[in-house]
Amino acid sequence: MHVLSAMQLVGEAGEMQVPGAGLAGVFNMGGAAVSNYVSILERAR
Amino acid sequence: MTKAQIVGWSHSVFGKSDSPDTEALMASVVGPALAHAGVGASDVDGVFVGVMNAGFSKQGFEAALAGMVDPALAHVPAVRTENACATGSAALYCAMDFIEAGRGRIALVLGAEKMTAVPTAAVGDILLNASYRREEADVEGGFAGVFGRIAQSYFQRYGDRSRELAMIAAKNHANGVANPYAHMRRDFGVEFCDTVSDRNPLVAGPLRRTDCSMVSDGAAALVLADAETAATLQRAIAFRARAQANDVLALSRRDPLAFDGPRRAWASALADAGLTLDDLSFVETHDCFTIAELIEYEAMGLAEPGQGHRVVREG
Repeated sequence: MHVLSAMQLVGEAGEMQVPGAGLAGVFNMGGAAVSNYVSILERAR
Repeated sequence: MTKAQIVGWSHSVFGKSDSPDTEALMASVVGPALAHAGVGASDVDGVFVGVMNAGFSKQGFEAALAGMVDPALAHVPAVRTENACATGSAALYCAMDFIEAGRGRIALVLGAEKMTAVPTAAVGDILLNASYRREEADVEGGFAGVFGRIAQSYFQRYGDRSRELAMIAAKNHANGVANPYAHMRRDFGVEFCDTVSDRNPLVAGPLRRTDCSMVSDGAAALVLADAETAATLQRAIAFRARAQANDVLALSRRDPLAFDGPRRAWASALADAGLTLDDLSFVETHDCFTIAELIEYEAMGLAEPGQGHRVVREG
């Protein structure tokens, strides 16, 4: 999920590219809402 | 404290993979990720492997498989992490902590899962390892059954949202058409997703096959570097914020519809970043089942509890 988001942020997502992707949110969940991770990503270079 | 950044990656296609096992899946992404980052295996200070396994394979000790895949990694400290379906993020965050503690400058994060080498009938029970077996193992339909019950409870409390679940499924399948990594790339449409049929049977509770994610194989690898090293490389993705929030495992000890853990993780990350949802260009959210995605809309703050269906309806 982080990889696919990273692709969006560097403009390498091809056909599925979100235009002008600047800030991404990633939510990954383990079990039924037991372990929960939220990352906010942006391009640095 | 130096912050860790993502400087390279590789991702396999999802589906029934020709790679026969976890080791082969790993091999398909390690080399490409290192090459993408422009670093060599000899530059890697730590390897963080995320594999749930839980019965998909008798080969455990997956951290040590990294050194089998690339002999240049065999002497690099490696560890496996697991947090059920969040195993990938667990590996990533541990690798980031490693760099941010100053224990290394470059880390390899590696994840793989071979689900299709066991009979489909066995998958449901394996996935129940992510539940509290003592109280939840008798649920019919394996882990899908857990979410089938959650869906049923949600409908009882807030009304039948089968149509909106089908709209979520249709949206996700439509997105898959443009996604070369997707297991399935067919635009099924809402009517198909909302109709119980031989091709789309009920799986658990009110959930149809299109409401459930697929049994699939896949692998991904990320290279992380500290900010100083990242500045010398081709590309870097920074983290404005990251948060992990846990909740008690047993469904009997909490309100399964509250999704309190996701709620806290979202609030924490957005607060740390000084952002609101509106600032985000997009969100990749965990869509194990459409009902999970629906409740996640509420947990991330897009809608009030019970109002997630409005997000689907109103775009």
